[in-house]
Amino acid sequence: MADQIMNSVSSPDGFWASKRRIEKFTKIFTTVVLSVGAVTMILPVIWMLSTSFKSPTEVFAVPPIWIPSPLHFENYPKAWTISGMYASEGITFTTYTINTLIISVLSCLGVTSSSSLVAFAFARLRFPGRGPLFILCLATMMIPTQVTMIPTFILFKTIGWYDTYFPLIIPAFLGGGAYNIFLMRQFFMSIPYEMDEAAKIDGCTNFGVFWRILLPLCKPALTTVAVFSFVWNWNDFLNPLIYLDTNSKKTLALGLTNFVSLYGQDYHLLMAASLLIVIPLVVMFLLGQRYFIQGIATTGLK
Amino acid sequence: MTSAERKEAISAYVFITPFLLAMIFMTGGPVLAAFGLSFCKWDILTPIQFVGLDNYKEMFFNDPRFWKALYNTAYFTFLSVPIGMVLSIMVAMLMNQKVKGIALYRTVYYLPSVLGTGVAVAVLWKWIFNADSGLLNYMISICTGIPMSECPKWLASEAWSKPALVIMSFWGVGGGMIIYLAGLQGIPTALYEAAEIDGANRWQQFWTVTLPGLSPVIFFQLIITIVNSFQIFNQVYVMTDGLGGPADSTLVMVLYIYQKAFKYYQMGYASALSWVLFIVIMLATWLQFQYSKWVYYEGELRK
Amino acid sequence: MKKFRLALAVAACLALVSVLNLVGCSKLGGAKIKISSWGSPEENQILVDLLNDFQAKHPDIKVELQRIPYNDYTTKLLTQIAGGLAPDVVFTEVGNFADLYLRGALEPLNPYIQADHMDLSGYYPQVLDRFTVDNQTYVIPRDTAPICVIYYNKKAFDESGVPYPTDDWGLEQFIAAGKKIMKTDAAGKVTRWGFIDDWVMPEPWVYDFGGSYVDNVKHPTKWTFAIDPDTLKAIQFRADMMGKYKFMLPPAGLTAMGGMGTGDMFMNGTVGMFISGIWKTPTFRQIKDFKWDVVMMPKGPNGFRGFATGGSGYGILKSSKMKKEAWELVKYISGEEGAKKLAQTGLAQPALMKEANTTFLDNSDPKNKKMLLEAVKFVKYPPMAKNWDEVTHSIIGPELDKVWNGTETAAEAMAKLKVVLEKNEPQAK
Repeated sequence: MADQIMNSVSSPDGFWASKRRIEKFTKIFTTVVLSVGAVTMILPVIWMLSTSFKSPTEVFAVPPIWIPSPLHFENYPKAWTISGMYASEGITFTTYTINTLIISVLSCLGVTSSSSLVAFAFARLRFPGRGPLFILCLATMMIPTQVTMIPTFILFKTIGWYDTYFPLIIPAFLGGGAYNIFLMRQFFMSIPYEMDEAAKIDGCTNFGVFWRILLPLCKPALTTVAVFSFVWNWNDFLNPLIYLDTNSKKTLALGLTNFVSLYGQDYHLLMAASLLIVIPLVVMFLLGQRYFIQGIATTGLK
Repeated sequence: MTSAERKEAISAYVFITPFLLAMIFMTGGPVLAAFGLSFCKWDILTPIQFVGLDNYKEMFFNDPRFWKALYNTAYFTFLSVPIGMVLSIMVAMLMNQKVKGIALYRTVYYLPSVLGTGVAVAVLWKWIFNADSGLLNYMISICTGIPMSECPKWLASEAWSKPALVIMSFWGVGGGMIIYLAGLQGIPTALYEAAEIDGANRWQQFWTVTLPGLSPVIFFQLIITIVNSFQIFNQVYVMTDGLGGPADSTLVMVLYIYQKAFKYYQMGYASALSWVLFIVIMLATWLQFQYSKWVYYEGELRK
Repeated sequence: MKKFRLALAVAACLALVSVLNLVGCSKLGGAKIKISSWGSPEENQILVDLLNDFQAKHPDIKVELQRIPYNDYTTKLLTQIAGGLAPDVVFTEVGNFADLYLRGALEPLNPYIQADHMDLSGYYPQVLDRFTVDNQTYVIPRDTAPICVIYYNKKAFDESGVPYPTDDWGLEQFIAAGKKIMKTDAAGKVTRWGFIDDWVMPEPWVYDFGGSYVDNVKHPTKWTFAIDPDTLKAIQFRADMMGKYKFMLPPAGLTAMGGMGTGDMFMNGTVGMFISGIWKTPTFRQIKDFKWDVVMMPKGPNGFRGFATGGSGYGILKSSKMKKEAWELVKYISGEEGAKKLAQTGLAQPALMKEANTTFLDNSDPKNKKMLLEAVKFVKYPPMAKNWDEVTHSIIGPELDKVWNGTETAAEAMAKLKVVLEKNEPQAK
């Protein structure tokens, strides 16, 4: 069957002979498949959206309510101000947002710069111990954080970084984690070495090769690393939980826990808050799209 | 070493300074501490006691939950990784077209990954997997005519709880999609043009140009997703309220480690468990590197 | 170029350091004590008010409240203790009290109580007793929460023509009511169930049937769960409610809400009776569609009563360097002021009898909460063993899951558990 399709695709006078037909079919097929998938992706989010407008008793109504009436718009301001729980300290989700922004932006910068530097060395430079060091790097990804959590905590606390943002940001500048280093390394390796050579012949230093030749070619990879690290930091819960004490320093992920506690859960507010904090990420992603569309890639070494 | 080589080596060390600093100051200590702890008993509130290999002996000879956790973790990994990978690549290829509104589609597919794995998402999925009135069984009953009462009980059933987790993981294909998209963008169009001139059709181009060009990325994703799948925690924790139920059917390794460390005050044992998990993951990764001849690097590693 | 970039990085770091230092600085002078607590917004507000009052009365003591989400309480507390940042006063409940006490983390309070001639007779003796071991008190109780409260939907009872339950009802009446208030739609799907528990709780039934988990709660030496015949009957009963009498929601429908939305099910009328502690009151006061009230859990088969009980209080960690100040705080927040405020929210029954008998019994919903005063007589607490948590969640729990799902009978599960529990010893030292 596959053979028949393939043959008919390449035979000069079959139904598919016309290139335009193929293109048109592909476009329609793509759109249909994508749409079905998109619905699957977005349906749960729509439920979250609809729940964010419900009253507490409607959240788990059976059969499920898709369009609550009335629409409780007040859930949003209520969630944002955490029902006034911290009114005396002036803390609302605005506070959390600013804190999280600081952490995420700084981490993002740190990760993109340091991981690409380190990855360049692993991909392009020769030095003793390169192999073992890279393995060591990968190995750090494989230890569950739950167990290094306490020793790491003791470490940070001993150097006085408890209740500060340092434990959340500094690691980003120190390589940004094995995942990002690994990712960048793979991308560097997909670029022909001849380009480095050409630049070197022209008198470029290592750093010059890195900065002028390889980095620009890796825009999709860099964007990926940036987006991932930003999103990860934005949603990170465990680290802020154990390192932050003062209420005014807490982050968005921690802020969400205000709606769920032993004696009561405000799911409608939780949904509202969860959707609100996702909006900046979505916007960022939409705007960053053009770095994913690269157009013409490395066209040649000439 | 020649002076040129030495210069290169020094240059390299400067480049990897951030990484070295992290290793020495931030990772090294805690990892060694965790290693040491695995030979001790420690409940945090009383002093550490050295117990030699007791933890390991207990684990391998006296702990059925350990084997269950290992099995559950492997099951989840070996199901979700291959299928997820194929889905991600397919989606990435579809997203690589210049169809109208593709940016919107990409965002929609990436949206789930951006929502994280918090309580909100857990509530959502529990509703979807509700055996009596949830979305998934509802869709199944519409598409296949099986009445909802005969549909799998998902999170309430020992047999279907892990498949439920696997299905949940597919929702996150957007994450992989991004990586593959970046990879697809990196394949020179010149190669496609050359292949077309040689008479290759779309299907053949996929096998001869796309896949090899994508192979470094696939290799990367394979390693990463396997490592991550072995360490799955957040989703299981929120979906089962930290219990790994029903009847330990969703008890994955890291959940078990978390329980031992923070619910049952057994840090030493938890550390030992982590080291065993670590070795398993290392082994899996090493195997992948050993059998990585299929990966084609356009640029190649400088030997 | 390289050097320039390095310099840039260093400069950025320095800038970072200065910015973050500004954000991070908050060192005060004077005595400073820390208290850790979880809690809903109402609880938190009460505590914040109390702390402000306390600081007004004791200007030389500063109190810092550390709010930790309930689900992560132990994680964060342990992490802090390990890191040397333990709080001075710790909010604890009957479960993790045992964990802390058995590991020697709690400061004995008798010396302080005697020095201040504090009169503890105002507290429910049974509740205080939970926090007292070998005549030494470790925690001053704040509230008691017997899980014996059956919330019922009056409208559902009216519709089915069932008289409202009374506190002295027994199992037969409970089963009958549960079955009669059920509703099914035309397609045969259940639209209203008879009964559900807040989370999977065998304990209320085990105690109500006169069963047990250990031979001695405070000094357990062996697990009696699998060998006590009353326990078996209790487990069988809970399974029967789902399998035989079919008026209780089976796990399949439950996992929709996964133990999270069971209260919501009561609130939207999907279930007619709901067992939990009194703490659901503030949430349920939001119900508008129907009238509801509470009734005591039905008597067990021999007319016996026993209620699994929660409850919380404040203790002092041994590691504290400011024990005297911590004690002042504990005294104040466990006292009358706090109890009164707590009672007003309806959230919990204060451990101070006076407040429980007065403020708590105001005319707000639920009207029958006075039955809680009776309930105190029958409180039962979890065994005090270091491995209690693990045994109940990792050994007993998973096996019982199979019983609730119907893949095993209660007798089979007990037989398996007997073998395992015989080899296991409660660690009470």
